[in-house]
Amino acid sequence: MNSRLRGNLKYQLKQNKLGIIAVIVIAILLIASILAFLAPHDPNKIDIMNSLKSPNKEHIFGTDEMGRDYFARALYGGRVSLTVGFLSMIISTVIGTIVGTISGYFGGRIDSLIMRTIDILMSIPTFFLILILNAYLKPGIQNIIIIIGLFSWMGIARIVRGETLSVKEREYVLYSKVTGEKSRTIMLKHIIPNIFPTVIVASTLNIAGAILTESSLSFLGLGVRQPDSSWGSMLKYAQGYIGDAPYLALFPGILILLTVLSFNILGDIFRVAFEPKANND
Amino acid sequence: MENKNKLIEVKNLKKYFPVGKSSLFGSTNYLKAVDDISFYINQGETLGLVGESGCGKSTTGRSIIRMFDINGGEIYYKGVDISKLKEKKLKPYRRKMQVIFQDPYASLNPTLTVKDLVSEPLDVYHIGNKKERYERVLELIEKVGLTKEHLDRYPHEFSGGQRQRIGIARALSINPEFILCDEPISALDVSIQAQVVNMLEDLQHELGLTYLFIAHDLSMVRHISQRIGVMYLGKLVEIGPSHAIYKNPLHPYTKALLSSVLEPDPKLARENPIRVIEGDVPSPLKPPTGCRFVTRCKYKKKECNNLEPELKEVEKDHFVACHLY
Repeated sequence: MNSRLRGNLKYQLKQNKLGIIAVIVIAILLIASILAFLAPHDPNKIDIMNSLKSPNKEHIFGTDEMGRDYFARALYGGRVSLTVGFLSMIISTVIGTIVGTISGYFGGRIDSLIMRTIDILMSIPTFFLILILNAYLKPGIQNIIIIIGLFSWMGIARIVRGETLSVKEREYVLYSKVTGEKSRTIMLKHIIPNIFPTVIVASTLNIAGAILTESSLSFLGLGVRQPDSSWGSMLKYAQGYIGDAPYLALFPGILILLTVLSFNILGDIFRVAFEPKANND
Repeated sequence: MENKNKLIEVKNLKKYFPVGKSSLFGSTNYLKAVDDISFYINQGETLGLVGESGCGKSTTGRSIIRMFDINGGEIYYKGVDISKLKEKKLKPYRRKMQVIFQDPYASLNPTLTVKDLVSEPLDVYHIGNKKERYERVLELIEKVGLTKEHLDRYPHEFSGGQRQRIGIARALSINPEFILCDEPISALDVSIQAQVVNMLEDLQHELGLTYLFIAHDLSMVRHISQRIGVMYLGKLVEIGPSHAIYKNPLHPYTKALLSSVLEPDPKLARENPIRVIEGDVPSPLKPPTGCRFVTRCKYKKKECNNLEPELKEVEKDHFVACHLY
């Protein structure tokens, strides 16, 4: 990232109040889930006597049906959700960038082959594919991260391919080519660093998608298993008590909403900051 | 000319770009960017190539350095046909040919520092170790008038002229024999143009370089070139020693082109008004049959419409493709 982009980014953040809020929300959630071990209560300590207590001084988010502190569970759940979001984003970004760059750079038959494969993969409802795969794999965070990562790189690959098509005609790439540079080095040294801003935008949006997918999976009982929690699984267990204790659904619901919204706003800010044309509106 | 002295010889070079393949079964149209041209460049000389935008001069240059595959003809480098060589066999020739581009903003990767930019060709050919490369880069950067402090900066911190110097330093780093100067000065302002051209000349004398100098500024081309070629719509219409082209232009297009050079002396300028050519360049997708210049030529004859003129040697080394001669 060069200094012009950094300047743009600062400017956009200053201009966009919503953006500052988004950054603050993400920062708080990140810090809170990293420091989750400082929570006053053990998230897995069962205390049946205190079950389904609404929010109070002792338990600020209340307690769930087994009397566990809901605040601590939400913090640990956030840890799971954000971990899944970031790690699967990294997997999908790496795959998407490599595939997209190769496709765009070489063009011709390789490009057609890769693009048609992506078209096919994108036309399959990913969520059902993940559901089916999940049935054969042991549920757990690791598998979820890998599966989400492996099925969400196609969008990034398409974007990266488009950018590569434009960057590969720039004169510094042509220069490298006529100097006899290897294709692999050209891609690593000249193309990928110059499409990096676009990749950041796409991957930020991907985090939000991955968090949503994980929540949905957990909600369906295919994600994290008890006693571990994630925001999705918390929602699932809140279902049964929606009449008696609506706050059980409210807290994880709001947290998911805030996180996904913040990442989407952040992605949008990155997009505007990195796109010189969109700057003047 | 003895064959030995020719560094590069181009024979019947053709480069067509496919355009407008609209439907699956529709026939592809071709834009004949360069259509059957032949010329040579002697060792140690500068051949200037002029012509208006879109006439194929850049395409000609880029074909020679094998930026893309050509559609026909041969390119001889020291007698070896390099036009059909595969990338692996081409590599030793790539090392001998370098290029300086028009736009100093687009030709330097904005994410690399000057040191990395200039040492790129050295890295490609694994020349020297890290320290030797650094010393070579320093030597080059000082040769083009920049200093050690500039090495760790990024391209956007430099002015256009400085960037072009970085481009020149990069091109020189692997001791090429031939440099394609693809309109290296047209993006620079006039005072900087002279600096860059003088530097290119000094370097040529010092290192024995051969240039193909593409430009549309005729006075600069005259200053730097020993021979000049004039292109119009994918064709070479006239080629010869620069003094002959300037003193005695033969082709009507060359005459018009030369009269468009602005005269700084107002008295002289009044005496020799610019002779404007009528009309526009025809579409290169549908060039006129016969002579390409026929639609705009004042002297056209009957045969100009049907018969394509060949390059004829009218004076010694001075060739023209026109039915008037």
